[in-house]
Amino acid sequence: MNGLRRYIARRILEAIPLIFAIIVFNFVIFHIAPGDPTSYMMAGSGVAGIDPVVIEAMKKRWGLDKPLLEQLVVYLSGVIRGDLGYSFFRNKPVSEVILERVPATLLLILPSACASIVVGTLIGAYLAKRPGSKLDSTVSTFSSILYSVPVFWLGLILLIIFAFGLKLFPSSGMVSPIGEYAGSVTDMLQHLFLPSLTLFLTDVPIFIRTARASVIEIMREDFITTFKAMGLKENAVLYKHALRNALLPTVTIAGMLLGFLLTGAVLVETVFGWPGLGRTTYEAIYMRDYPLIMGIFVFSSIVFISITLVVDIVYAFLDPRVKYR
Amino acid sequence: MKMVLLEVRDLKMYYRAFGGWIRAVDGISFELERGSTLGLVGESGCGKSSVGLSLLKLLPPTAKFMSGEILFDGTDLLNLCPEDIRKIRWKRISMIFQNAMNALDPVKKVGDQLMEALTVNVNVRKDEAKKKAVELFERVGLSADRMNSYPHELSGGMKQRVIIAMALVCNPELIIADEPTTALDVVVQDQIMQLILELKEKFNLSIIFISHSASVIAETCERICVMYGGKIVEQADVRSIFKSPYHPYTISLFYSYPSIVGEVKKLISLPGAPPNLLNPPAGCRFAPRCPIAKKVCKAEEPPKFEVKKGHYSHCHFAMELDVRKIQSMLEGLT
Amino acid sequence: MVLAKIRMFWLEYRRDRMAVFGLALVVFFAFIAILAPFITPYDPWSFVSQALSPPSQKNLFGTDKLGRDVFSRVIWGTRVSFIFGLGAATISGLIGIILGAIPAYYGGWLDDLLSRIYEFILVIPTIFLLILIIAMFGSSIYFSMAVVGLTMWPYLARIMRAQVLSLKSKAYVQASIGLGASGIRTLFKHIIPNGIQPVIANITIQIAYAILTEAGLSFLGLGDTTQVSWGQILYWGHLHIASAWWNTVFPGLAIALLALGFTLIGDGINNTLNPKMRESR
Ligand SMILES: Nc1ncnc2c1ncn2[C@@H]1O[C@H](COP(=O)(O)OP(=O)(O)O)[C@@H](O)[C@H]1O
Ligand code: SF4
Ligand SMILES: [Mg+2]
Repeated sequence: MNGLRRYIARRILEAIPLIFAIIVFNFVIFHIAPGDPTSYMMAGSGVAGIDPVVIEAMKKRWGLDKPLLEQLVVYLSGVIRGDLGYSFFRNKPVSEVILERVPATLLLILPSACASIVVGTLIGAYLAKRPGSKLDSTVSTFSSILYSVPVFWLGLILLIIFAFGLKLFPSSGMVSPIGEYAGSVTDMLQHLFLPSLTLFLTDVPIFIRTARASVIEIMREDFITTFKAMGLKENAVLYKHALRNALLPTVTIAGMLLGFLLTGAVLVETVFGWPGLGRTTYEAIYMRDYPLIMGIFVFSSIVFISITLVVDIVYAFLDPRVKYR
Repeated sequence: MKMVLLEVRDLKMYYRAFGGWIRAVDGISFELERGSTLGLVGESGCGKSSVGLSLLKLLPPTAKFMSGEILFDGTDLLNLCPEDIRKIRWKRISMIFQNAMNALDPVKKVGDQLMEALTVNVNVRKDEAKKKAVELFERVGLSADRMNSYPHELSGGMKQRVIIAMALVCNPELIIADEPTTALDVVVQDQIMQLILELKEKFNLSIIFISHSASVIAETCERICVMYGGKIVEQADVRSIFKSPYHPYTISLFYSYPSIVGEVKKLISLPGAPPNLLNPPAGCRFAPRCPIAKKVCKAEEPPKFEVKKGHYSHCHFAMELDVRKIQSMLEGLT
Repeated sequence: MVLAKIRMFWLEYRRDRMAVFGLALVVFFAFIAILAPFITPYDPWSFVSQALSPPSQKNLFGTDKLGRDVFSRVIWGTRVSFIFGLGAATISGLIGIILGAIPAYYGGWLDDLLSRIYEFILVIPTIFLLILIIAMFGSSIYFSMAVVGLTMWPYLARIMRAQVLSLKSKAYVQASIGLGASGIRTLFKHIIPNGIQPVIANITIQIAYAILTEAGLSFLGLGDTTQVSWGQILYWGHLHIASAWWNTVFPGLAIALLALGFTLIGDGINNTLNPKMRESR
């Protein structure tokens, strides 16, 4: 147990320099990008209706007239205290804009990610029982197709069919602006359905592939023969021993999968006008709201690093061999 | 009165491969008496493990039984449905695997794995299972607190002890031990062999030992089958075969074991490798490496000779072999 | 020797029907890309019919908002997407192979440093990195291609590194070192050629990934508006999705098919190298 605790502490300590590196990287980017760094930090400050006092305060706040190194220190300490800059287009601190939008994104990502992890892993494990069978090749072909279809295009096609054609689901937003059910839970679920389905369909092939490949690999290990010889039923061997071991590679590449989920979320939110962080990113690009773009980059990187950390820790719990590494 | 526990008749088991069949088990027959030990010996790649796995039908989907019978206590295992085979696995026939390093689930505690072996097969209460597990751990020379270890925390010898304990947990009649000591240090090897033999007496087990090493087999088995290229080339009681081998391959195999044959001190190994079983040579499969091969060997498959009572050899020249001469020819080869 | 190896590889690869189909798709699109100037019925930039007219004999895939022929634009877009995919994957492949192999071969601090660098890149969410950089530095297609390539190489480097580490201990490599071959020579003559196959399979899959990324970036408004890429056609087309589906469906289908082609080839190579993944029943 002590070993595990030490391992977790070490992983956390290793994550801190990574987060620093991300923040410094972001700072470097807007200093080497063509154009004046100040203009990136202050993008949108020309928008009518912004109090000149705010603009001055922000310039001071970021020490934009100070030498570079001092600016970096100011920037770093700001970010660490949760100050990601100011969005003049929205007239709000960036961190506030981001935090407002996170719940909607979670509502979209979590159910579909959980569903695709569970369903994909089970399908993948099942296919691994008979590699090369008819069912296996059919499902593999389908998953290659889904994997190759651009996420947002799939979303658009679903829109064409179910929203514009069959008129079964609303085409955009999170709730209906008017109508009897506007704002009710049913209304929200209806809005959630198509974007969630899109994400599910694009994510599920990755989990099918990963689970299938690792279960096939594990089913060839010697210990699987031991358990078969012990008189366990095929399914018991598969689900009690093979799957547990095969989950380890799934967890290991979770970092990469997470990137996939996020990319999907940004695009799907854009297609369906889902008011989450992805849609906000799209709007920020559209308006060239640089403070917001940078803020989202730093925020999502920190989230990403934290989740990777959590995944590593979960891994250590799942695999007794890891702890003292 | 001797009782036959297992009788294998003309068993053929092939693996499907790109370009044809790998004839891993190509027409072998042997008998095992209750309470006795039988050894399968031969170089790596001769089909020994395939025989062992065939007995429990633990084969990959590419494997196919082409012919033969496996009579275990009178029933032909080849005719049983998967469910009935499952009922025989571990309860009547268990196995100790070739690779102790990987034969246990890496993410489960070894004690739990041992108890699992019991509970899936027999209806027992949790505490009874636990009691039995503790007892077995002690019997194989492990302290009971080792039950909470994960496989990677144990040495190779300890893992092999766990596996032996597992093999015994349902009181089987037959144990197939496939290279049980190959991956271990010499000293540990010896301890493990002793342990297996001790347990055999105590539990009145029948054992099939599989090994590439003639010395391991010589020390442990009553009867020996020498395998080459998917076939049994010589079969006899241990005394008879070590006193006078009747097959050139057996001689070459034993020749690397100086204390048995003559005063030879030097260890040699036969040049070349066992045949590719996808395309085995016609006639005698040993012919390409045999120091005394003649034309007939490459053309005709050697028949089975009963050179003495219960001592069989598949060599065209079984009746006229000159062991000394072959030894010196083999020596000349290296 | 090498030819015989390739022939053996092809004999095995050929048995995988989906892999052959993938190859056929890619060859088909390659022909379209090469022959684009000869087979486009209209200039992809100029007005030819009424705006947003549906598919007809004159305009197979209909027309866009500016009355341009979508069929001609999709054909022309094949070139751009091909170049983008191949370019990005080549950049990623070259960097990945070199930075994967050399540090792994020599070990030491160089290897540690490189491992840290890919760890760093792998831990940044790629999509936001691309958005940040392209939004600030501009969205010229060659620049985006380079940036996409630069985000993908660590995956290849990791595979290459593992291959080199396992091959380094193999007998023939040891023999070559023993015979006095220089390190770099051994690396490039013996290790890389023997360990590169899984990297190639992944490069092929990265081509598909790059094509999809270009489309995604275009869709977010970060595409190169001076180019007729599939992503661009789709981006401008989807604005009229409710009234003119053909502007959305056809370019997307082209993207999906070409990406599918490369994915299937990548899978096919992997399966050929690793036949246990599709054992016979
Ligand atoms: N699962 C398998 N699929 C195909 N061929 C196999 C398989 N297992 C073993 N073989 C082949 O069968 C032959 C006999 O192997 P094996 O039974 O492991 O021999 P041994 O135990 O004597 O070393 C070898 O040629 C080997 O390559
Ligand atoms: S049959 Fe011929 S080749 Fe085979 S072992 Fe006897 S002498 Fe040698
Ligand atoms: Mg073996």
